[in-house]
Amino acid sequence: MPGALFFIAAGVAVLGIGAIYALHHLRIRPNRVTAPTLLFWQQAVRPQQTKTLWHRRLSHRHTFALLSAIALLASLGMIADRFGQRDDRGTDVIVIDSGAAMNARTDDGRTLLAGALDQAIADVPTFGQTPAVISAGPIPLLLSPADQPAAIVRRELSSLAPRPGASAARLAIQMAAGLQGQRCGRILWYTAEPTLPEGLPQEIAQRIERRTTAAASRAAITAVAPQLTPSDSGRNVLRVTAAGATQGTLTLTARGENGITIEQPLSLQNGRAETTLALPAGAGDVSLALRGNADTAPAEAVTFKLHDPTPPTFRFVGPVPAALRAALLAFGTESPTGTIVVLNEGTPRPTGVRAAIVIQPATTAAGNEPLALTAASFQDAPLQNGDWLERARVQSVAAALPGTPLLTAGRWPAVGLERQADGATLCLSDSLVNDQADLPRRAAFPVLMQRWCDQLVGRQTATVSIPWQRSAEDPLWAGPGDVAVRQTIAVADTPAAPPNESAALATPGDIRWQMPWAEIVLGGALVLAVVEGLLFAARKII
Amino acid sequence: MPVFVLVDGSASMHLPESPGGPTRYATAARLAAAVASAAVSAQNPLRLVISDGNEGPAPRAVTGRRGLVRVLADLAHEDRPAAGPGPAAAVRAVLPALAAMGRGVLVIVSDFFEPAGVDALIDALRLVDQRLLLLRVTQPTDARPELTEDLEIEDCETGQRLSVSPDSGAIERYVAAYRSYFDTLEAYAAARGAVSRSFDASTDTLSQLEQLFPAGVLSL
Repeated sequence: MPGALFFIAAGVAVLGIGAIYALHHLRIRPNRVTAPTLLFWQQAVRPQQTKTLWHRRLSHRHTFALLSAIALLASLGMIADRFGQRDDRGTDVIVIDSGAAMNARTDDGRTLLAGALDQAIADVPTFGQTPAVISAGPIPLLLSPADQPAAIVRRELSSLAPRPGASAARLAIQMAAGLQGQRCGRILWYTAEPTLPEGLPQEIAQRIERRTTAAASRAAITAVAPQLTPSDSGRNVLRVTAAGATQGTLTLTARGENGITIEQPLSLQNGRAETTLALPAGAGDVSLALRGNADTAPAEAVTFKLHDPTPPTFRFVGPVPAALRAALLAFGTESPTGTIVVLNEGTPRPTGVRAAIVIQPATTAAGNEPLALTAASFQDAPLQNGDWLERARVQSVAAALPGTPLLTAGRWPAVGLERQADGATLCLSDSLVNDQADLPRRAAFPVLMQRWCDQLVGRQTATVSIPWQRSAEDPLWAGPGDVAVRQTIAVADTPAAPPNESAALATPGDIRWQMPWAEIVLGGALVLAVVEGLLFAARKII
Repeated sequence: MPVFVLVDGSASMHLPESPGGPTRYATAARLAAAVASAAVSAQNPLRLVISDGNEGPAPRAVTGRRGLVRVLADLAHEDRPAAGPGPAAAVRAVLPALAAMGRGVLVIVSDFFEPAGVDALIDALRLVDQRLLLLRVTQPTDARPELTEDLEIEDCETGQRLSVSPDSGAIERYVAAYRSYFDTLEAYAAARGAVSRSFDASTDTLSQLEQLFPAGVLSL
């Protein structure tokens, strides 16, 4: 919406029109004198075309002058409005921590995220220009660009909920810095974290204003992740993290559907705790409860379904890398359509098999060629094969659109899903799953494979907002009906990327000008006005 | 020798250079009176026509003092309508009378501003068989007018208007056009042996008559 300065400029333009028209009008009515003859004057001067009433009233020169005056003043006003008030202040960006840890609760029973959102919504009117809003969940998402109506900003904030994953805080803040570009502004970081994310450049860190929420007072389970231990076949090993302000020792209790109960102490250090539970196979639905020693009722409880790790949902045909085999065996999937066959490319596919995982050979023997992420949530970032596997954020990879190559090694997809009329095939590059790769050993790999297999057999649920305000089906996060788990269940993340990872996920170039055509039209009119002025000064006939 | 005096009575002759200032016609009338007086004194038949756009009977020859007085009275009558054709049309209008007069002298007293151009004027003068005496009445700003601001100039005879601006070169182009016009006329007059004289309307006429009557005699 144009600012006040534009309307002032428009008013000046209207007044200027009248003044310019009056000057033009006066100019064409000079003093009249009578001469004995025009015989010599006609040869001496170029007669101006304003001698007749027609030209005096409807001269295109006047019209051109009027339009030039309007365009000139309106251009000045619009340019001043766009740059005058904003250059000094820059763009403020709100970054909301929406990781799983924000689901911890305070004394009043509200989540930390709810408190952060209330604080952010209350702060929105205090900004001169409505800020951009970024959700710092496992994948940073731009919820609202800058300068949107405040109602839209409040709506986007109100729709946030803790995501099942750790917050990608550093990437989210770098994304905010990318939105600001060269202009300075504040990055308002609403979080329960006591410190800033590590690895931020100083120039970005000094822009951050941390708005900490109240600390979680009640203990909460913030993440449950299966761990892959090849030697633990037949067992489900879970890594559980918790957060809260409760002092003293907590008790984590896991009860399986088959009556198995495991209790384990848990002590919060600096408001956080982590432990590992090993559940035998066949536990079925598992309930985790967290309570203080003095509590009679659990402060937090979650229930989820452990997959039965017993085969034979997978049928391996030919040699298959051991790590992949172990991962698939540790976290199998129910396949209503039958067996999922795992085989190397070139091996004949058994008849009647509708779903298959095909391991494709790497394009190079060395396996060090760059891997280019083509997932929708990432800009192109060439990475080395081995390096990527060390730094990969599996959740980020998992957020790719269905059917989109998740990773590419040169021109070949490292992971891809192909659908045929009679089934589907999940293609994995050998470079990802061979015995030298550590992707299968990552904590989230089994869940990743589970999701890919769910997609392979046609089970897809849930939608997720991805950057650029588009929504798409997310095949790799469980929907409400898939697994009976609350949002506190998260996939364990991999170590954060080192500081030299590629920076912002959004660039100032992504922020489109709202009305580029206006600048083009007014710029052209400005050129016409300059030309008309020069011609007028030279007394040429237009 | 018969003398035919044609006095230009068009609007341009009656236009003063400044309000209340002398008109060309006043000078023209004095010149015509001087010529008429000289002609009558020398017993030359005189015919005088004031070209004012009105068609009148063919001019009769004037002789004697009584006829001269009548002529002078006609010349002095400045209340007549300031109208009339350009000099070329005026010449063509008196051609029948000139033909009836036979050999003699045609004296034209005018500013010689022919709207159709000098060529049209010369074409008309070529039709005159008599000897020519061209008496041009000028104003000081005829040759180089002053132009310091944008003006709208109206032709007093045609009503046509022209807006002019004092851009560089306008005055020089006017002067060049003016000189070209009268140089052409002078060249024609010299070529056919005609006498051409100029008289400034802003200056006393009597003091300028010496150029017309050197040694007190009008020689043609």
